[in-house]
Amino acid sequence: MAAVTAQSNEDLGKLVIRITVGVLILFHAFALATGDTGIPNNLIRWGLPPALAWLGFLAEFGGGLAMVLGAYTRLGGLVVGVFMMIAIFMAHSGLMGAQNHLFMVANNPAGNHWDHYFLETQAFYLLGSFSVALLGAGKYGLNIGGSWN
Amino acid sequence: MATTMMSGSASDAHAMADMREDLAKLVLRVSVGVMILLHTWAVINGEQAIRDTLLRWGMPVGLAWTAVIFEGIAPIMVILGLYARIGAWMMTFWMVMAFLLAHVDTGHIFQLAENGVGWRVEGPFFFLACSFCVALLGAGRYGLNIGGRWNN
Repeated sequence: MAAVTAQSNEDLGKLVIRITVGVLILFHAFALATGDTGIPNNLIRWGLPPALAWLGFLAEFGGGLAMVLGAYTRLGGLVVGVFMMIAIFMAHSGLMGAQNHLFMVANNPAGNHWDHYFLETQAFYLLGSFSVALLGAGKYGLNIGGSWN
Repeated sequence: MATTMMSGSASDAHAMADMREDLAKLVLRVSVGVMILLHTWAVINGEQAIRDTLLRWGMPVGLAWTAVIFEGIAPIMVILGLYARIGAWMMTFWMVMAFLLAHVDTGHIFQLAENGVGWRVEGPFFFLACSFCVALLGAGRYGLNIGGRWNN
């Protein structure tokens, strides 16, 4: 009985982390698809075609959807994790004229006191995605993708 | 160890799966634990957000110091793997209170971020969800591993 409980907690934990990372990254995919210029501007700064941002959209949307549905969940986690590594490398590491945010803190919403790691959100996406890739989907989902789920 | 890794039997496949799970649990609990400690350090150093929220609800401002317990000692337990599930439940409670007092009646949970990119409360929600997740999953093997089923 104790073992059964532990197992269902595991599956619930896997559901919580993959729905969280998956749904939240879908908001970013939506922003990108509806004209957010963050990623295109970074590509331009690197001398790359801004249309490559659609690869970012594919990673965010496809990876997020995979995690939410529980279909090829590990692959989705891996794709978003690698995407976040590229994003942090290109936009936050002090390269090609960008500011180095890797070791910075940032201000609270009121703007009157520092209160968090500058890349807190990015770190959650990066590490959350790799955690999903390592954990897999658990039993609550479509359960498609064999060992990739 | 090396020979068992290479023999490729079913039990070795299980060992690999366990290692992946334990690694994910380590990654999750250290990232959520370390990043919330920065928030706590800010509160200790006079950051006002929690105090302003308490004032708005007519609650004693001194309650902000319970941050030292719920987002100070608790995440250290989580990071170390010392009764990590208890620490994670304490952090989960803390974040639920943060949502109830600061983000629900203000309407933040129904809004996008100010620049329109992402959910307004994705940061706090990551702390809530990851804390809950650690409480459910446990600490795994990589840590002090103290506390029996209250840790792992």
